[in-house]
Amino acid sequence: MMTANPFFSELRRSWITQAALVIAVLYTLVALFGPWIAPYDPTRILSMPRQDPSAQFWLGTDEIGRDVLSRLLYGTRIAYVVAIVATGIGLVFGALLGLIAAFFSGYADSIIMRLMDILLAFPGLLLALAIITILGPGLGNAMIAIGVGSIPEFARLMRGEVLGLMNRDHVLAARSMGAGNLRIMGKHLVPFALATMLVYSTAQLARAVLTEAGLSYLGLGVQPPTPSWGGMIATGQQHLTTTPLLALIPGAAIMGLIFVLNILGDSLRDALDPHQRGLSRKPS
Amino acid sequence: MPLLDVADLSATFSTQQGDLRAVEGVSFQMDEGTTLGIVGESGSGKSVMALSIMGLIPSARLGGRIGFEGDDLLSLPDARMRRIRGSRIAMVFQDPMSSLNPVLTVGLQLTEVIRLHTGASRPEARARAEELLRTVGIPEPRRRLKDYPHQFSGGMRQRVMIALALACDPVLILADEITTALDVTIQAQVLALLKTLTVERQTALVMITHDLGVVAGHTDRVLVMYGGQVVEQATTAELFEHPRMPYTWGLLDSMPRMDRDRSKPLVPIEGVPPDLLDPPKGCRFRDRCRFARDICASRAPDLAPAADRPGAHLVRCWGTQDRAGSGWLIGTDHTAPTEA
Repeated sequence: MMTANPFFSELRRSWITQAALVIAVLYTLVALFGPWIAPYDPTRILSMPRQDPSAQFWLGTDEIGRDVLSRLLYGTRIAYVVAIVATGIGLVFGALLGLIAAFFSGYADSIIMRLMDILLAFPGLLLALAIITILGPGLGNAMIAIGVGSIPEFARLMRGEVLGLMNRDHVLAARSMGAGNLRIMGKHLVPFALATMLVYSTAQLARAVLTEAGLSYLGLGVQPPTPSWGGMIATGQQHLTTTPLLALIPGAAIMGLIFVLNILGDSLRDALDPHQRGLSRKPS
Repeated sequence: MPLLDVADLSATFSTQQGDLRAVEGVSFQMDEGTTLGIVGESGSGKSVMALSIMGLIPSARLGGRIGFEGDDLLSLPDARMRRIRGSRIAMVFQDPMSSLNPVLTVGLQLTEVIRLHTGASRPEARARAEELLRTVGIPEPRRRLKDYPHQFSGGMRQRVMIALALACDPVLILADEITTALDVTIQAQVLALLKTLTVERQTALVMITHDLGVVAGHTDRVLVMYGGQVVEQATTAELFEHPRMPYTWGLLDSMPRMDRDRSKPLVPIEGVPPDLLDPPKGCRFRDRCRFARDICASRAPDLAPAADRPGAHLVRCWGTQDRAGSGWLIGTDHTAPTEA
């Protein structure tokens, strides 16, 4: 075989991964083009409340008569933005802190990692709640809160990776050629830790979607009337006995996205981990 | 003034069990363009010494002095040390499989070093890199610059490592077990290449190895290390003709040689190296030495001239020094073992 991208060869082997990828692409298209696909303005009251699905309103209308489909499509974009920005915050700051801690060891390591331990001591949602209490509710603050909450795990992962990498011969060899700290970090450490960090990021994306839904459910994330999945569940559950679809539809959307992200994360890990690859590949 | 003047070098690691002195009281000098072999088994401190010279073991406490081109490397600030590494002193490591960065092309790794130390432009550095690969005998250097390390064989990779070491025309190259990870058939080629290139460029070369055979044809002088100390020091010819320290005898007897009776079995050195966390009080080789006497247990011998080869040979052994209560090995032929 030529030097094919390991992710794509991994992909070829598993129909579950293929299916997950197709669904993920659909989600992404919806996130990108949702506002153009959506039949109605998601914030406008169009008809009677809590109508059943019909030709006019495919998924029915919500508790005050807005189109559920349009709200769901708009919500996808919000979920994506929150997940990506929050995970990005966690990845960038976490990786940076972990890198510094491992690279400089000593005091830097102790201070950074104890700080991370303190953050870790809070359950994820509670920490997000605390941060939002300080910053105030809203989409932007929700992203920051979720992102900050994920920094410690990223930092710990990065630190572990870098500590292992620092003992590699090529790092020592690079030093012996006169490479400085920045060069060592940028060219000889970070690229090797990236694979692991990316895999963890996919898991974190799924978690961020969930946390955002949770925050919106509690009314601390995306503010009404802006549509968000968590918010839709929150209002929908009041009508669970009469119109269960109102909560079930956004719930299914969340579940689907998280499921897909986790499967893709697993495949990515298998693709990037040469040991896994060797084990799972049949001898040819 | 010698190029490299190591005086009373020591390297100590703090461990949970106490201080571990990996290198102790090592002194030697090297002139420009000369070659020095450092021989010893695993744990004898030879690699730690090389890394100390490079300033690459931050976890060790270093003592003594490493004079190089008028500076004491042990007291140089980091920034200046970094400019020396790779440009004035370069190092070639044991395992060429892992010493190159697997995600960067060989060309990029070469040009980086060149640009880092010389400030050459990209095309200049590329031309120089190509020339270096040609010098170390890699066919089609221009095309190979674009290849990644995994596309090279072990021997070729070690040639790339040599090219990297030579990139900025250093005056001193430290070669740490460079043939250990290579096929036997390639070892001689790589050694000969390094030897030729350093002779051509008048580069001083320190060859660190556990293999006396590597030292034999390729070095001017030899240090034999044991338990972190130098136990024997002489010119290479002198060492092979008149080895004086029982440890060196052991090394020679355990090595197959063309000029010996090959029907006799090779004799291994029994026992294990000393525990450097708690080194024995007297001679460190005592427990494994079949010539040891009482004095060896009570007092540690100094590195001093051999009684019968003064001026040519330094040994750390009571048996071959002419001092009170010592000297019983003077004139012994170690190839015919005597029961001491």
